[in-house]
Amino acid sequence: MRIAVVDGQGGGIGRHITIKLREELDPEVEILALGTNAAATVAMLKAGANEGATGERAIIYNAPRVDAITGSVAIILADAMLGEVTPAVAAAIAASPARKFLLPINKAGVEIIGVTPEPLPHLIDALARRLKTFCEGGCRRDV
Amino acid sequence: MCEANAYFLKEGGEEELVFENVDRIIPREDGILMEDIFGKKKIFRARIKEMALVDHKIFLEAI
Repeated sequence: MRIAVVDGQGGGIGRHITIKLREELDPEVEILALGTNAAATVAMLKAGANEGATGERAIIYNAPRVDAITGSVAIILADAMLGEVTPAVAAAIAASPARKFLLPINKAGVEIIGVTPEPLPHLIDALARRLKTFCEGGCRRDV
Repeated sequence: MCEANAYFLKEGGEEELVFENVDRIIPREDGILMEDIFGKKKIFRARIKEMALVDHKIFLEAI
């Protein structure tokens, strides 16, 4: 079971996600840190990710080779994160067969209707619970 | 999102939004440094006048 955590800029959100997933998930679950830049990747590696890779090509290569992808919704929005999420990165993640678990936070001017505003720690707690269920269910589409 | 936002209180009590989704506030000699949940940082030559946390509001006043 491999989960990719994708983040850019300073990697703060990815770091918080990685810390929580490392706490909540089975140690056998591998966390792959995919940063749009080296600083973001390093932040996630320091938070407990098993492996890390950086840049557009690394994200395009790894997106279809993991069981789940997580991060903020910005990772599927072209030109988000001050342009670090390239159209190719957004397309690779969106097109990946991996299940995507995305937090409804972004600075790209995208509003997701029906989402109740929650503080970031609450969102990350909910994400960890959902991923735990997904992992324990064998990463099936119907879990 | 429902992190706290920072506002300058203008004369007449009007609130001017100056920084959103505050994650950290670090006092400095020349004011305060704020960082949002995305890692963006900004320094304000201001002090905290009031924090209304149930309302997710931090009110600043210039120094």
